[in-house]
Amino acid sequence: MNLIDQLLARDTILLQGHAGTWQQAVRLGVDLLVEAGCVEERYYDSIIAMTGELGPWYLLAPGMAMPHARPEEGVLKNGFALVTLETPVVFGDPDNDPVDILITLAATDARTMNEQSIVEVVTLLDDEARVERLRQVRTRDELLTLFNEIQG
Amino acid sequence: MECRHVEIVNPTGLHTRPGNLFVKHAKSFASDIHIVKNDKRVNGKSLLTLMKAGISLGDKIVIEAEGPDEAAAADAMAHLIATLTE
Repeated sequence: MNLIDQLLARDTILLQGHAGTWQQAVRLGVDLLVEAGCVEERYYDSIIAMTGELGPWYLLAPGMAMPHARPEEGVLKNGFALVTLETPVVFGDPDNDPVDILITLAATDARTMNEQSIVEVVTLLDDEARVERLRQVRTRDELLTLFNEIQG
Repeated sequence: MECRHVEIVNPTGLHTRPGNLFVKHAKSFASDIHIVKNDKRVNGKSLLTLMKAGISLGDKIVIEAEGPDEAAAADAMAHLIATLTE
């Protein structure tokens, strides 16, 4: 799976991170994408501003968020960042709070975002047992074991 | 069960923002709501599974509602899809 390969190749992974607010949680993911050269700093500001305007539309299911903004908001290349949190944060959506798994997305065009990036993320997360294991992963070795099983 | 056949007319399809709108609205009905696209049938109250179906501009889908308010739900969800603009 391209998503897993990209996470490992770019090392855009943070396990059991610390965030006190949803904004800090989003920051953790965007920082990984900035370090990997996938987005500019302003991508964070766009996600926060859009969330203020529209609400957290990117909460996929209980505990899971997929923060992203539009390609023109500072995306340099396609990328994903995986963040799990030691303590979940609240986005203000009773259906899906609290959240402790975030996959932040960057895509250079809307078509790639909708037809590839998002489909890869939901395909990875649409398995309750797998998500529960991801939630428990503490080390990179444990994550690699899980990824190897997923990729078969 | 009530079914409505609709075509996706908004450019971004049922992706995250419009998809989230659909799911939130679907949850306001007691009936079970599913979307059928070709051979895929997904829960209309779950953004995760809705995203997995990858519903895009021009796709012809069926909205299925089953439950105490199925006719109102099917009408409302079909109307929502027909009036998406983003």
